Amino acid sequence: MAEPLVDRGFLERLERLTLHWQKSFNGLVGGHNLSRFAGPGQEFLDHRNFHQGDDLRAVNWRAFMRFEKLFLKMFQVEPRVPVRLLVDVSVSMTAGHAPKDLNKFDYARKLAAALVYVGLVRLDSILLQPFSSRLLDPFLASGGRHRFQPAENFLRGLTPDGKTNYLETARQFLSEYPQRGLVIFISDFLDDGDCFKPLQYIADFGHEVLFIQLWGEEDRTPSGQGEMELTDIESGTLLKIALDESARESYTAAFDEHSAALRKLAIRNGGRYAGFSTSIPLEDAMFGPLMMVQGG
Amino acid sequence: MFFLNLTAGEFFTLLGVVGGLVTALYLLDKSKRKKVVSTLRFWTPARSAEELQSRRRMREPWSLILQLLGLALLLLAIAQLQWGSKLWRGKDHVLLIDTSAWSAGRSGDGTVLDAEKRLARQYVQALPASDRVMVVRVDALATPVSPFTSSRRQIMSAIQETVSQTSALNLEQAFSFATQAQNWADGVRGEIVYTGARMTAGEITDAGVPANLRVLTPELSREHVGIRRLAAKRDQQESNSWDATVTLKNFGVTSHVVRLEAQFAGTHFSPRSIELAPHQEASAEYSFVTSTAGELTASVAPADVLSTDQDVHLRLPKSGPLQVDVYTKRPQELRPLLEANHRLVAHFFDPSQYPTPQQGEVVVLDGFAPRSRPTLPSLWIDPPREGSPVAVKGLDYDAVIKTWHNETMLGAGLHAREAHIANAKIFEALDGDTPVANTSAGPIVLARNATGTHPKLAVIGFDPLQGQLKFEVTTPILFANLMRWLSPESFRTLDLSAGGVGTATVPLDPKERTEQIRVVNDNGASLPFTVRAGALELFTAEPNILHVYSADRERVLSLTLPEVGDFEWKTPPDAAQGIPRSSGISGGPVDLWKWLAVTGLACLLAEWIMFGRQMRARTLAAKSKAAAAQPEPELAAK
Repeated sequence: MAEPLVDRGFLERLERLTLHWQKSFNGLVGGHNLSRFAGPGQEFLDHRNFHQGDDLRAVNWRAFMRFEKLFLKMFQVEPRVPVRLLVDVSVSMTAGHAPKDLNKFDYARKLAAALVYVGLVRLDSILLQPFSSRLLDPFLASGGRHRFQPAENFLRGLTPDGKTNYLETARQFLSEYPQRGLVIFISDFLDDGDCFKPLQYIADFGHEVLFIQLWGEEDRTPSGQGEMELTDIESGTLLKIALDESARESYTAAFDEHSAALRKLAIRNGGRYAGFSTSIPLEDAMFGPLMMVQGG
Repeated sequence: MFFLNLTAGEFFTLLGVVGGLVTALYLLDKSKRKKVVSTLRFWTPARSAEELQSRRRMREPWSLILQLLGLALLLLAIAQLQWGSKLWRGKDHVLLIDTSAWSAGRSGDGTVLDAEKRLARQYVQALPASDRVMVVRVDALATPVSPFTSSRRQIMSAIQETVSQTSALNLEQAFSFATQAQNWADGVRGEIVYTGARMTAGEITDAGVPANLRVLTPELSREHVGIRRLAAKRDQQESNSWDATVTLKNFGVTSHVVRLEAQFAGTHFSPRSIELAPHQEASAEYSFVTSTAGELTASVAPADVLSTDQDVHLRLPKSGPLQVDVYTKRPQELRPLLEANHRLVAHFFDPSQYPTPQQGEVVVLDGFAPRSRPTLPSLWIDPPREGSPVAVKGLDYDAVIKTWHNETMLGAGLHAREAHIANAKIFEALDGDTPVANTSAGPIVLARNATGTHPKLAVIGFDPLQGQLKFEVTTPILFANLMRWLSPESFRTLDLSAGGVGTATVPLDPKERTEQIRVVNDNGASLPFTVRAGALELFTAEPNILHVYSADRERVLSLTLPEVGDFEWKTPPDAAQGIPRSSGISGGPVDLWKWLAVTGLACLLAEWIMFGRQMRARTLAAKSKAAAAQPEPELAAK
């Protein structure tokens, strides 16, 4: 039997968390505001006169017996803001980690599993959408915590493949999912092209974005000294460099600048950003940086 | 400068191998490392990297140079590099101290050995402190007692502990050993120094004398007369008669008249005055009759410089015929059979008198079996079946002797084939038993060796004085053989001699067979020997009493006299003599290995600090600095 992505103890601790979103979406009610629209639901809203074609199951037969008129019960609709979890499965997610740490791909899968479980506990529906150069087959997780196992199986079945292409991913995403909602990106955001513009498009279409940037220790502070031949894992491009302290510092500064730009983009669009190293244990990340940006 | 431990070739070979290895590791370490990364977008332009590369090329060679320098210095330390001339290095001398029999001679107030030790000490004190000396005691053998050492305490101790031995000097062998020792030491060859009386066992050829010889001769007189040999032999016919011979030798260069005194068991023989010319040997013979054991001694007067060979002692055993107690009812028939042998005396008793308090050395039981078995070697003649000492497995009423075992000593000379015996007992032979005569059914004459509880015994399963065998010559020979086997000591011809330690030569009779010869010392341990040109040769380096057994003959060699060398070796004219003057060189070359080792280690430490430790520290510092600069996630959310 395959090892679970997240263990039982950790799942129990996740039960007190909730996925939050801050925006209001047209036609849907976000946050904690209840909808005033009638529709299928559990909470009673009002009565109205019966019209032909109405569902006989909604007739208030007790009122008919008393007033000999047909009244129809109306219920408060409970619209769910769609939560979409975009998980980067490009091959760059398998590089850049220290030997003792998990690679970004495995870390991302575990993190996605934890977020899905949090959503399922609150009866949210979460769409797991892997991507690399394009959107791959999605998986909709809903129906409560007891439906967590299929989602975990789906995540375990993912394999790293392809080159990151945010532009194509964003284009497909916007055409595929016109209904606005919460979009959570779990990625290293290391696209050879410019990832900022595609992410900006997604935000411009009214989605609330949460960028979770993962990096390995080697991604941010490369080790070693002397002459090196670096190979880009996605493109295969070679680069010969002489690594010393100043080169390392320049590299780290450039990386931090990239992270800062990503954070700025998120905040500017009313979204949120969390970035951390895969050297941080997943539990610490969930109850630390992620809980803070989620607001509990 | 010169190497002590390694040759220059070995040093450079080692340096080449280790240096090549270090250089290869250095190049491997500095070669490009390949790495797969998530992205290349954050790396600085290649131009600046090339600049860095050129800067590195300027700095890194110092790491290699320091490593190679450190290794070279450490290898030089291992090679024990020394500063100075090779002439400063101490020489290796071999000091031969004569411990032969002559070293016990008198010289002034002490012995010759005391004078040798004094000269040896003076010689060692005159040597430079860095010179090394090996002390070797020389007599018949050359025995090193110290290695080549510059420790004066060790050398003086080896000289002091030297004691006189009893063998003659073999100087040629000593010179050969000293020359070889200097070759093996592979150092600067010094002198071979001999100190002693220069009296050797044989003449020395000039070819055997080393060129670097120095001779230190103590004051002594070589005028000496000593006893070379004392021999005693029992008469073949009369076992109580002894013939003794004393051999004297004049070792000096002038004639001497000496008085030889001899005594046996306290009885003095009349003294004899003997004149001996230079290097002459003379013998004096003594004949005497005795059946008792005692000590035969001979001494020479007047005493001279060497007293160790001027008196000699030889222990003679008790002698006389074998005493045999015969228990029989027919003494008149057995008497001629036993008394035909002059080496034994028979005492006859009636079987009812068994056992008598007066006991001989062998018991003969004729036709009866006593209740208690004799405690002495015994011969049983036709014992009854029930009381037989050897189990009887059957009776043969018309036995025919098929085999006499001539291959054994017991069956020697027995030839009466097909002899018919009217009534014979067939014995049950055990392992270790020696059958003497056999019928087709089994042995009828048997000998059994002594065990832990029973002495030797022989049993004849028929009456030899009845029937056909009564008239055969086989019967007295069989009795003689059985008696000889029961008490071989009584029948053995005994030669006793006292001689010098060292090589001993014993002439053998032509009929003596080499495979029957055995040489043992007083403790019963066998000694090696050779038989060459009809003589047995053996060697002992220390006083010893040796027994040479050969069939029915025993020779006792009391090798207790010192073996005094009788050739005076003349010092070659080109050999140095006397104590040399002190050289005045007190110091030797300067040992550099400690400084080289410290400098080599310092180089390696500097390399590690400059290029190893600091590099790691810089990497760690960069990582912690980068970690500190990492943006806080909660700030990003705000």
